[in-house]
Amino acid sequence: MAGMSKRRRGIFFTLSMLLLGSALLSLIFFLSQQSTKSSDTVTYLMEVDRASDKYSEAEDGLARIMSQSMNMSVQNGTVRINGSLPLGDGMAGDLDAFARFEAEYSGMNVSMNLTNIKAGRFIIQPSGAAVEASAGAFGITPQDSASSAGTLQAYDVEVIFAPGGFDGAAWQAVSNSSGDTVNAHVRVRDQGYTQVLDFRQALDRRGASLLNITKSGAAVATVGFSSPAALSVQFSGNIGLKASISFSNPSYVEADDTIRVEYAANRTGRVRIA
Amino acid sequence: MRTKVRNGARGFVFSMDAALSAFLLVLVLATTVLLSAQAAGDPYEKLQVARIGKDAMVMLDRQGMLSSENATMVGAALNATLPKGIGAHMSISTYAYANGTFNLVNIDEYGEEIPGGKNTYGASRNFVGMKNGQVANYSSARMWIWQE
Repeated sequence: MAGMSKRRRGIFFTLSMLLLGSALLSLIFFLSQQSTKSSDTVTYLMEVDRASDKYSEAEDGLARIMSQSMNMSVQNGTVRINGSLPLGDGMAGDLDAFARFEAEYSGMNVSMNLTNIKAGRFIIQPSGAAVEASAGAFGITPQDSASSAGTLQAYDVEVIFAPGGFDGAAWQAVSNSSGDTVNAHVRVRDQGYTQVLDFRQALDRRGASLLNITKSGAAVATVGFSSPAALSVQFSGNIGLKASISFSNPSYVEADDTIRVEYAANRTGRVRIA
Repeated sequence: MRTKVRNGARGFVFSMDAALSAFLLVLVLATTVLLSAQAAGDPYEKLQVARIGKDAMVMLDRQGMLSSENATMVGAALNATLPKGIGAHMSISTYAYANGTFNLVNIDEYGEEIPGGKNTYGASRNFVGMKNGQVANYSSARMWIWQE
């Protein structure tokens, strides 16, 4: 530098300034790009969040409407179902109206396919056991596999009648000879607990057992167990039903129906009830 | 003549350097202002405040407060749920469903007045009101939330 002429020093200084200027311009450009990117990420996250919120809001609404006819809850591997059977006619209308309300008042495209919920069909996951509540029948049917029927440990079923709705209950067939069993507790009672009958058996997972519930000798309901570890309650008229189904794995209940939220970020999935 | 040219060139170079320095100064100042402005408008703040509002609404709904139509209870629940330094105003529009259409029957307002000159963030939630095991009405709640 000392040997450099004044002219060269000037040129060098000017060039340095130009370089510094372009470096600063590049820095501004880079930071501005980064800032825009970060802002876009936040906007996208908010949209994902909004779509997810709308999805869970719809699930909450459906579960709340469902719970009025059939309340389902889960604690670890135990699924509890508490309902009045057959399911009320009003439930399907309420579910349809709710789907319509969400579609009209959400500010985004929300559509629901609720065929199975309205028909009272659900799935206990991850075992894939089917739950079905139709007119005159309630059933739980696990899949014939070690990961489904093989994980079912116990049934606790309470069949509730109106006062005077039954006067007796007895096993018609009991299958309990194999070593592979499912614990079953069936309680038959009336609403006021004036008559309570309890039946406890370790029943064959792959056998057939049947409990008849009668009034004046005529069958008013049956509780049946069949292969593979399935439960079936047949009834006439109206009954209350409380069922507790224990699996060895943590479980949840969903319906094979879909909620679809279309927004800047879409979300589609099955309806989780409990 | 030669001396004159050299002095003129020197003057030109000096002016150019001065202009360049002024340009650089403006550039440094602009960078500082731009970066300060970007730091002040933290985009994640928006995300967080909106999340607080949404969580509060979910809680109030699950507790049955939103469908209670009780202004005192909802106001108290809002105060108890939201963190300190967060203000909120909520409006709930209730609809009755008849003959395939939703008719607006009521609009309830809760919480503080929305202040002017502040950034407000929005959250909304639809819910159903139940009565005797059936849906009594359909409501849409909207919350405005801000940092006080």
